[in-house]
Amino acid sequence: MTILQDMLRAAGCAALLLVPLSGARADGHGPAFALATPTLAQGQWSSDTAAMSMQDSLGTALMYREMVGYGIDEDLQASLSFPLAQHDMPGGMSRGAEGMLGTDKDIEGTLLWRFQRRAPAVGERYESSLLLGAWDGQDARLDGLPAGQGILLAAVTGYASRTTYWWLGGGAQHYFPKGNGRLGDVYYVTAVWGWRPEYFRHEFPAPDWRLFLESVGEVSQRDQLNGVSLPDSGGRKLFLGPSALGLFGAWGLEFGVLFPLSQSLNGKQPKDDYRAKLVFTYWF
Amino acid sequence: MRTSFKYLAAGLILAGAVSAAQADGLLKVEQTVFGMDCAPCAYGLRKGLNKLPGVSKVDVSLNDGKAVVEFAPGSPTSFTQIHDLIIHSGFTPQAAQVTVQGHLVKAGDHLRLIASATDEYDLNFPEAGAAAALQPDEVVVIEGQIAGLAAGAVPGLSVQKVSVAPVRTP
Repeated sequence: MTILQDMLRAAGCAALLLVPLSGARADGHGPAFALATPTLAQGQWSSDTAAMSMQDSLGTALMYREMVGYGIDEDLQASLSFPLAQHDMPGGMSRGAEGMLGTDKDIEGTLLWRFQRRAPAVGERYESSLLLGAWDGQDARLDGLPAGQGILLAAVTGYASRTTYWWLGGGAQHYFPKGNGRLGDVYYVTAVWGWRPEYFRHEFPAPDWRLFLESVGEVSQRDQLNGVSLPDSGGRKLFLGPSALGLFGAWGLEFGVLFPLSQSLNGKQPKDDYRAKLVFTYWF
Repeated sequence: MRTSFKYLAAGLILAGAVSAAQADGLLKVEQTVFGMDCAPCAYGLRKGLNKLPGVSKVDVSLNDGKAVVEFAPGSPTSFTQIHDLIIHSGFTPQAAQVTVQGHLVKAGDHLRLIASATDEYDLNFPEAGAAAALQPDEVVVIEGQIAGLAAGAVPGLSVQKVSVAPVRTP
């Protein structure tokens, strides 16, 4: 492994960190990657166990995270997300992927506040939510750059019905300096359109499947080391891909994949090939 | 409607002084629910409703936007509890079709149905004078509609049918 490759990984880490973070937030009964509004009922618990994979020109990484959610009330949900395990695929990323994913140590807590809700008809809901979160990378190091701590703020609005769904959202993640480095902040927008085929509009508890088309756009700033911006860091990425969500009573199964539509990077860091996700959900 | 009140008058005579206080309470609620789009919504709502005391059966329909709750006789659950549970599940309760047993009391210029210590209804009759056939302390089963519920208010029940409470073995 060359020093250049290590540097490239470090440069790309800020953007890739977005995956576990936004990905964890999207669990539940919304889309796989994009921001969404639904919250838990008051007093309800949920468990989301996610397997996420990403691949770039240096290899493939696979990680597992758990998110536990609790409905403080019907419009306010608290979630805690933490890593379960991480595996580097044979021939893929080794230490670099571990650092890029930042998932072997970081713990994230979020509050999702649904501040607007209107239900005009049977099965229909317009709603808007704010997401506030913080994470601690603990002692994780991302190829020389300490992961540190960070906060996020995001907003999302959308529509849910028995037939179609849509959500539009956006947010920012800010990384605090740690040691002699700081990861670049990340800004992102998400859009999702969903459709439940007529065959799956049967009455509960019949299986309930819906399909999503998701898009995520990211802008990441350059990372800094000793106050100097790293040349091979930061840039813009736009992803698009399908996902599907199946609901069976208290269980949910979701999977999806995002492919890059465009990647305009500041330097020579590796480009993404895909991001994939599989989630098992249980509502207690 | 008039026929129902004639049945009521005859029933009251037959029932005499039978007390059915032990069977008072909600018997059935068909609650229209807006904003419920997916299986976890129905699952969570059904689970919550099943936890209410005295509930014997719960059906939740996503396509009709309905939660139908049936109760064993003497259930202590109030309509307000159902209404609040739906709100705390993240949905919007609309009109409800209610069947409830209780005894009548005079409350100002109208009749109130007392179903339990925490469950009572202000009765609204579609025809002027229809309430005259009813007397305070009578035990009746009333079917009617609740259009909405203001916070802290006694539910207003638009009466559609009144019948004498069945005699129950103690």
